[in-house]
Amino acid sequence: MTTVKPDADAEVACRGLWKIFGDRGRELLASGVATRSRAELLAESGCVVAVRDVSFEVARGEVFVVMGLSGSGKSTLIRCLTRLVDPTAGEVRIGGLEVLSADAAQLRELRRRKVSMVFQHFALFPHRRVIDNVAFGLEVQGVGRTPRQERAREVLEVVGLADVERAYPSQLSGGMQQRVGLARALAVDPDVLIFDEAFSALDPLIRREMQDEVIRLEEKMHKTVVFVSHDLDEALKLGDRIAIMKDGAFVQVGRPQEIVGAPADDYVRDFVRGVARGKVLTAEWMVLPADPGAPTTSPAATVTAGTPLQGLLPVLISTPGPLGVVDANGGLLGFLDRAAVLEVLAGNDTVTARRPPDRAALTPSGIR
Amino acid sequence: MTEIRTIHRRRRLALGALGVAAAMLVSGCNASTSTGGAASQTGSGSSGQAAGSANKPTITLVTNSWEGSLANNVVAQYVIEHDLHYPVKLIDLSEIPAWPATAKGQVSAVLEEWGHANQYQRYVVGNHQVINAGQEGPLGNIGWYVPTYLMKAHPELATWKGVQKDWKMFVTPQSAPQGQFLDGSPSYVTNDAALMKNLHINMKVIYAGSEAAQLTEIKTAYKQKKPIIFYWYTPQYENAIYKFSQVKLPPWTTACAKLPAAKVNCAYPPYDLYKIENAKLPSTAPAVAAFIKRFHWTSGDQDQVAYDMAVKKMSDTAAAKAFVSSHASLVSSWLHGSDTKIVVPPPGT
Amino acid sequence: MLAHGEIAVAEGAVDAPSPRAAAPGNGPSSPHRPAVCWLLSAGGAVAVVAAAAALSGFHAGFPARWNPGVAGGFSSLDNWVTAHQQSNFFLGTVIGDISTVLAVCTNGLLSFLTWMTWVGVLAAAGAASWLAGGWRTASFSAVVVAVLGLSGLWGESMATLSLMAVAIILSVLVGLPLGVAAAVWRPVGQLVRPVLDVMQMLPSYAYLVPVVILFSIGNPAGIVATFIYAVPPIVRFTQLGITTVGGDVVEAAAAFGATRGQVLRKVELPLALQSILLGLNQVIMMALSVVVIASLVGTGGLGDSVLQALNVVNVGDAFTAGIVIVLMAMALDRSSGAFGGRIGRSGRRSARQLALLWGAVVLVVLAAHYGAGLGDFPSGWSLSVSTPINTALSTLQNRLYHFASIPVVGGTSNLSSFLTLDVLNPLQRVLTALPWWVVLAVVGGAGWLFGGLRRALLLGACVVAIGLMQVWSATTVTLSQVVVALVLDLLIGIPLGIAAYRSRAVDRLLRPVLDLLQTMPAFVYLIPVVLFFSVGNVAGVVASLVYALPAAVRATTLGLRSVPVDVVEAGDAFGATARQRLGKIELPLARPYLLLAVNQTIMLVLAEVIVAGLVGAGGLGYSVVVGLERDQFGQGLTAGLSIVLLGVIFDRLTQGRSRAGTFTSAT
Repeated sequence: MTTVKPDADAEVACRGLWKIFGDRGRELLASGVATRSRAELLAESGCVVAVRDVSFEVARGEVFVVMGLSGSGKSTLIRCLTRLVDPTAGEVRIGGLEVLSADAAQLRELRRRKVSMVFQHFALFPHRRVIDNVAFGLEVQGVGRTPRQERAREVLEVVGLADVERAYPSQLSGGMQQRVGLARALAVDPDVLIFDEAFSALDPLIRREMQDEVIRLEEKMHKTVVFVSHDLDEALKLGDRIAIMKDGAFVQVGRPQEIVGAPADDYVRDFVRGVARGKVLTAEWMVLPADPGAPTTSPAATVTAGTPLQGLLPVLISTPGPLGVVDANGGLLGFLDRAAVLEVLAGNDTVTARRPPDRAALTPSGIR
Repeated sequence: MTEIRTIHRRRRLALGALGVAAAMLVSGCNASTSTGGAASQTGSGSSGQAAGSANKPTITLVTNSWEGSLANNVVAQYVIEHDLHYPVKLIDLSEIPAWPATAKGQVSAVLEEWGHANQYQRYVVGNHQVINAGQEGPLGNIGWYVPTYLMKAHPELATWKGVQKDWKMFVTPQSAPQGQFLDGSPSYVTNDAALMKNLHINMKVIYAGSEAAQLTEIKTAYKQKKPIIFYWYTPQYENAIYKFSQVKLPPWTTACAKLPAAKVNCAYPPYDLYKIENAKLPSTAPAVAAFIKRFHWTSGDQDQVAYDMAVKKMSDTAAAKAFVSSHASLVSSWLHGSDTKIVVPPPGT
Repeated sequence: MLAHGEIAVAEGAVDAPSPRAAAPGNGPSSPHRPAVCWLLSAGGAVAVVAAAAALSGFHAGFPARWNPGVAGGFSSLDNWVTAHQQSNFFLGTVIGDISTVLAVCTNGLLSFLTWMTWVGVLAAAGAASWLAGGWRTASFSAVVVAVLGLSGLWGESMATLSLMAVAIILSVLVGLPLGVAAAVWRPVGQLVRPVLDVMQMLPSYAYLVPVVILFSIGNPAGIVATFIYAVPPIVRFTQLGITTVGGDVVEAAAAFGATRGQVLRKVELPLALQSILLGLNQVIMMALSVVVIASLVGTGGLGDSVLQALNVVNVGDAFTAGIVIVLMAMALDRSSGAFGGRIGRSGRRSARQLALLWGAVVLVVLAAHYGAGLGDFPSGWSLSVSTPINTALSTLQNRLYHFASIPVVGGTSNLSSFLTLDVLNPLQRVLTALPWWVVLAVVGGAGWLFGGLRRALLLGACVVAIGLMQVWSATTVTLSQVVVALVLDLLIGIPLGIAAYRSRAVDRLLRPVLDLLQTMPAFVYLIPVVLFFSVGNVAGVVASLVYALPAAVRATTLGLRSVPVDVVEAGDAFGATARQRLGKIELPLARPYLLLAVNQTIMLVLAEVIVAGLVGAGGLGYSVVVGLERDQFGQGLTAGLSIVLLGVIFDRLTQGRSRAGTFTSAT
């Protein structure tokens, strides 16, 4: 089932991962009955399949979002990555370390230096001041008081909380608390950051602010990020790639455009229904390659590949013929058909059948 | 297994008799003479004795915390039930609460009183709610004792002067740097601390707080044949198991008795143990009131019954029966003889 | 079964206005004129202490000449009561009638239980606990009933059961309305609280004589003594249950036009039911813990068996009766606990089921009584553990007592000497040597630090009251033992609590042991304690330590379990080792519970001061016992009240700390 190309550049790789809660997890898996539906298994054995044969890779510097409704297994999945929850079966590799066979010391090192986590309900230590919260990771590493506090101050500066370092978490607003959580994760300068629904407990306004903060930091620091969310807008905004999870398994993995433009099944289609397609899908998504046989007519107007469909509308209205789509260097990629754009905006995703063949490989619909 | 059954049977007997009390209560009889206690209408336990006791009040006797007191009571109970046909119940009560209880009639009688001059003053002399039922027989002998093995090894301990000399042998962490003198139940008024001071003995009195604790401590020492000196008394059934020897103190005199407590420098007075009963008992249960006034035996008698129960694990009834059947003339004197002589607790006891 | 812990939590919840109010300098009037105010009060306090010092000089303890004659006053009150008991209408007739009713009820119940026969009791107990908690509870109760019989103490058990039933019913009849009143009218609540504190902390020994004088000896006095000790939880939990009903619900009811009475009956009481049942559960446990004390006034029953066994120094017999008391407590605890847990959940039995069940029970009873002619449990079917226990204990003593029998520590006798000579005696010397005003300054200062001026004044008053009652030196003796018992309890209890938190197996192993230690009447281990540690203050410390240990262990485990999982996980996620997690996250976050552990341990150690007095530890416990045994009511009561005052001091110090120390108000 795993069709992921082995990628030497992958920071996080995960293969055939299973997590079955309950005493008989391993037994069920070995007997092969685990492939049955969740509800059946629960009724029969009292075991809950939280993660079902999940495989994926996250490239260095990539932001990978795991999307799903609550109970879909996404929080368990990311906890399996650092074995906060021990998986039942599978492989996990982070930065070259085979996590599932790592001994306690290796695992501790992994958690201390390589991977940091930001939690849904912040999980700040209520008995420690902000600065000691941020310095916690360094403290458990054994870094001395002065250097670790210096480092913590630096990070607090980065997240804009330099003035509250002496406060206790309960004295801060939710947004500020999560900034502390973020700072705590950044303080150890990890390679991988895991966000567990980190912003779902925040007000919409604050949430957007925090998302922008992540984007800003990401541009600056290029961390590998695994981000769990149940908010599609958030996933689309942050994710380089998005995995849609349902009942413990990945339903679809792809770039935001692919998820929105080419839902793999009805479940995903339902999910993305409310999305403003015009904002997510870009000209590149709709481009039809210039027919090699046809005479090269120079288009009446051109747009850049990254323009959202919504941005095309004024041009389409004023331009009767097909639009040319050019890449960042001005090279012609192909043409845009007015009717096709309207159809896509109207919600007809069969149009995606016309997407260029080389893009098809990008939709690893085989990963299921 | 047997000791538990012993207690059980003792209970059943007492409880069976008390069932009558419960029935009376329910049917609206005067509660003040028959409340309390563990009542239980056992089917068989007391039917024989209860036969002739249809309208007779329950006689309540108090058992204090020493086994001798129980010995008095089981024998008295046996005789009252079998010969006088009154139901009897025994209740366990501390010495002091027993006085107001006797005054109110909740308790019919107490067969062994050690001193208690204050209570005597209040209830017998003062408001006449309790009457003195005369001498019990045994002479309470309070004093200083050591295990006999120690006395043999150190004959000088025969008198207090030996203790004065040998105090070092009795040092314990508790009393350090002085020697330890072990007192027992807080209910006994002791002069030991004053004696140490006035006789110039370098010892500290450690109050065991309860007789159980004191006895446990003595037994531990006894097992290891270690030196120990303590406040003790006879009659006491433990004396049949453990060999204790008394240390002579300066003799008790009436002059010494008049000294304030802190100045006492002589032996304890001999306690002429006496009995008390509720003032109304002669009218509500005349035969029993008379029996109690005549009840009289020796400390040997008492120790024997106590020993039978506590050591030979005989049931209360069996021990009582064995005694009664082997002492027919004595029992007859309790039923038909004359009242015992009136003794009064000396002041300060 | 964290009986006492729950009470304390409840107490805190009832009267804690807000975490900030208890913090120093945050009193109602402080925000605007703090500095001046603070300086003035501080100056005042120093002046008070200086004046006290000047008046009494630098002498150890409390001046004997400052004696207002409290003890004498109490004694004359006692004498007055004795003298007027017959003539006074209230003392004679009213109380006499109450006694009669109590006696009739208890004896009637006992006769009924006897009439039911043992098979009937078994059936009824099984049915009732099945209704409360299902098959597991029912089978536990049935096993317990069988053990009651097999122990050979059937009659005693039934006597105790009927006594307890009446005492518990009385507690509910009085406690429930009182709790409602305390919740509805604030002044009542404020008045009731200290009274309940005193009722719970004053050793029963201190008031047994007047109880006997006023109420008839035997069951009535036993019931009243039990009632005094056991009623506080139901009052507190009722009050707590009602005051914690959400304001929104009450508002909703009011919005529909409900009257105050309707709100109470239809909203508050039903919602408070769970809490009230928890209170009832506590009442049962407290009542069963004073079975032996009740027997001191002639109630008979199981307590009597313990006392009789003590008289002849038979630990095995005492232990047998103790175990029966423990089992009875556990069965009642489980059934009532299960019943409380069921409230508000589905699964009520239908009326038909109920009728069938009770019909069956009645049939069994009738068949057993009339058909089979059964009665008490057959005495032939007894299983005695008495002799093996005595033998085992004797062997253990031989093994453990002598020095060199245990590596490093030596035997228990060495341990005992060490504790006496190197810990207890020096501590006691220091405490005894301190002039009273130094203690006043320390206690008052601590009170100020933790709870502000009002608390400082309260605690200072407690110190002075102890002095004025002329029990200073006995108090210092007790204090030294309480401190040592507390420290040892925490040293043993916290690691055990951590172990139980870490390992399910340890937890499972510890639980029955802790239950046993907590419910076993202390009189039972009076002799073993002396066997191993000799008469003296160490025996007293050990007896209290054993009794209070479960609270320390349980509060620790509970505290660690209360640490939010996500915070613990965050620690794991950052690679903290188990030790780092414990030291940096779990223990600090469990601090309120650890303080609760300290608080509860002290309270329980103080509750055991009497037993300490019974094994030669002297101090206040011995004074209370002497008060009872030698008819020195005044002396006993003043010593008892000092125990209460010590309790108040420790309670306010530890409680206040936990409140002021919450993380929000720490800036």
